[in-house]
Amino acid sequence: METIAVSPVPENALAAALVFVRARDGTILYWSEGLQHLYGYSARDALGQDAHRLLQTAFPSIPEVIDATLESAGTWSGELLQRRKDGLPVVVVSHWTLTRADNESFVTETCNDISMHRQRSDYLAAIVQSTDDAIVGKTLDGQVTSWNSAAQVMFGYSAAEIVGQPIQVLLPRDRQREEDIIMQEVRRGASITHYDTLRLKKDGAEVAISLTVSPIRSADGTIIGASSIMRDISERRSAEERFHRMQSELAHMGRLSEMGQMASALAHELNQPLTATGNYIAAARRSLEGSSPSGERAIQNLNKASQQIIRAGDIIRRLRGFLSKAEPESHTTAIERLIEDTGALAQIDAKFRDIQLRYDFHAQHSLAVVDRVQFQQVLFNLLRNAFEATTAKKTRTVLVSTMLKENDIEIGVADSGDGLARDIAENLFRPFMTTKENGMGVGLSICRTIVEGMGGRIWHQPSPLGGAMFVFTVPRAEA
Amino acid sequence: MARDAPPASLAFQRAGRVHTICIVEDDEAVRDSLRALLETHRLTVADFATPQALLASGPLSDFDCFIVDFQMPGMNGLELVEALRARGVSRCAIVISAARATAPRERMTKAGVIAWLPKPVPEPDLLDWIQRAIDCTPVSLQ
Repeated sequence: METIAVSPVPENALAAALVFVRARDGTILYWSEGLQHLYGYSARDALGQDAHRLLQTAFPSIPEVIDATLESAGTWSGELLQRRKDGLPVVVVSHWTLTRADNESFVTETCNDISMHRQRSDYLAAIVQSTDDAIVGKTLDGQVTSWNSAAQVMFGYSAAEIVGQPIQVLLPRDRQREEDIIMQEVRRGASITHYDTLRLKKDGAEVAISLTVSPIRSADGTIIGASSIMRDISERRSAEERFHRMQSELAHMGRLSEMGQMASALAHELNQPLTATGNYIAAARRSLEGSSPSGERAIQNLNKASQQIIRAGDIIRRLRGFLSKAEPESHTTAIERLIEDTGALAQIDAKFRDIQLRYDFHAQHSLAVVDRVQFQQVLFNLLRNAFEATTAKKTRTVLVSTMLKENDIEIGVADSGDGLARDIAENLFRPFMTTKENGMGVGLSICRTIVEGMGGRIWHQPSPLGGAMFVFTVPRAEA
Repeated sequence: MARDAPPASLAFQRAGRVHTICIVEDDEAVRDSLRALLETHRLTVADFATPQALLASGPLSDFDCFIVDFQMPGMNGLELVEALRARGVSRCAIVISAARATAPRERMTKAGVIAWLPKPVPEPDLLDWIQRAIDCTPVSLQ
């Protein structure tokens, strides 16, 4: 082939090119100026040297194989790891061309430095390998193409075992269709984000994961596969389950305690008319004594009636004895922690998640003497009321505050709702008073019973957030 | 559980004198029925709906026995008996209550409360304790 020079090329025009020419045995015959910049060796250093000994080249394949390719095809390309004069490594993509002239053959090698790209992709690969999330590549038909070390830890398969296998081996029997649906989305170019599901480990155990799947595109934009990122959420799951269990236990205890309080109040209220009835019967019998034969029969019946009164009284006494067994136990407690726990519990309900629950503690490190369950019951009740009060509002904020007051700690629950109408505010703590459609109207009256039982007080005042604020006190522990 | 009818006559008239029982009870039905019952036993009854009403009434030394409810507005039954002691009253008292006894025994004894009876009180028990209250040695006043 003839070189056609359109205009004269200056002698140094090719000097910046990254190229050298060597004999078949490796002896460097030409060394461009540009290479000095890449390798640190000048032409004077390099000429006459064995090229790959000088550059300490590591080949991607055995030199004999490369040489055979070069011999038969006339060219060879590949990535080479070499060392600069200062000892630093450099990665190049090298194109070799074999030229023959007069029984001699020469090899021209161009050297494109790709160290920067390599570092970048090594860096990305290192991130993929070091993360705790399983990162898995797969083809569009679900064959695993890459498998990071977190995936190995999470599922128990090594990369060697699973690359080339269908991703379906990770799917529990009842979720086999999930993968089809996910891949349909991926083919459309859509991603699936933070989808909570289950996958199988190699040992058959299930693991709860949060799954994110995105399409992988080739340089021309064609979707050629998918990447799955899976996060182990078993711990989060079990924490949530524990919370749910605590919440329902608390609700259960709340109901039991409500029933207990009601039964206790009922027993007390029934005693009065029973006592009066007993007295009236006894008085009537006294009046009839010795009057007449028919009076005698009336007396017998009145005696039976008073025995029934005694019996009713015994039943009530037994009931009270039973209820008193469930008496609260007061302990010295750090209430801030208890308040935050209760807040988290009250907010588990999805419809209250968007509420901004803030804390403003001014009684830090103070200890109170309370029954933990009862304290939580009161606060839980007040929090739920406050949450519900903000339902229709744009800004849903609830503020829980603590403050030291002489021998007491004041706990305030303020909401950003509409506040309370005057007529309601006056009767707030009476039993069976409610503004809620499905409310029993015992919440606040029981709160008051509990708070007073713990030696505190409870009241209502306007909220700094615009709505209602309930404040109750608990006794401080002796310092 | 069955109890016999009370003895037809308790010797409430000692030395030919009619005894006067003071009842303090805020529940009207309980108060009225107690009065009715005690009157059939030929006791004289004075009743008051509140502790304050008793303390504001005439000479307190006219009463032979006090029957007071425990839970009352403003002042409980034990506090009332202690207030009576502070005014020089020396007769014994019976507390009736719908609730369990919550005050320490020593405090009750010191105040001259000889019994804490849970409601409803069977008639024989009540009369028995009234008899004892009438018979008891007056409380020593310091």
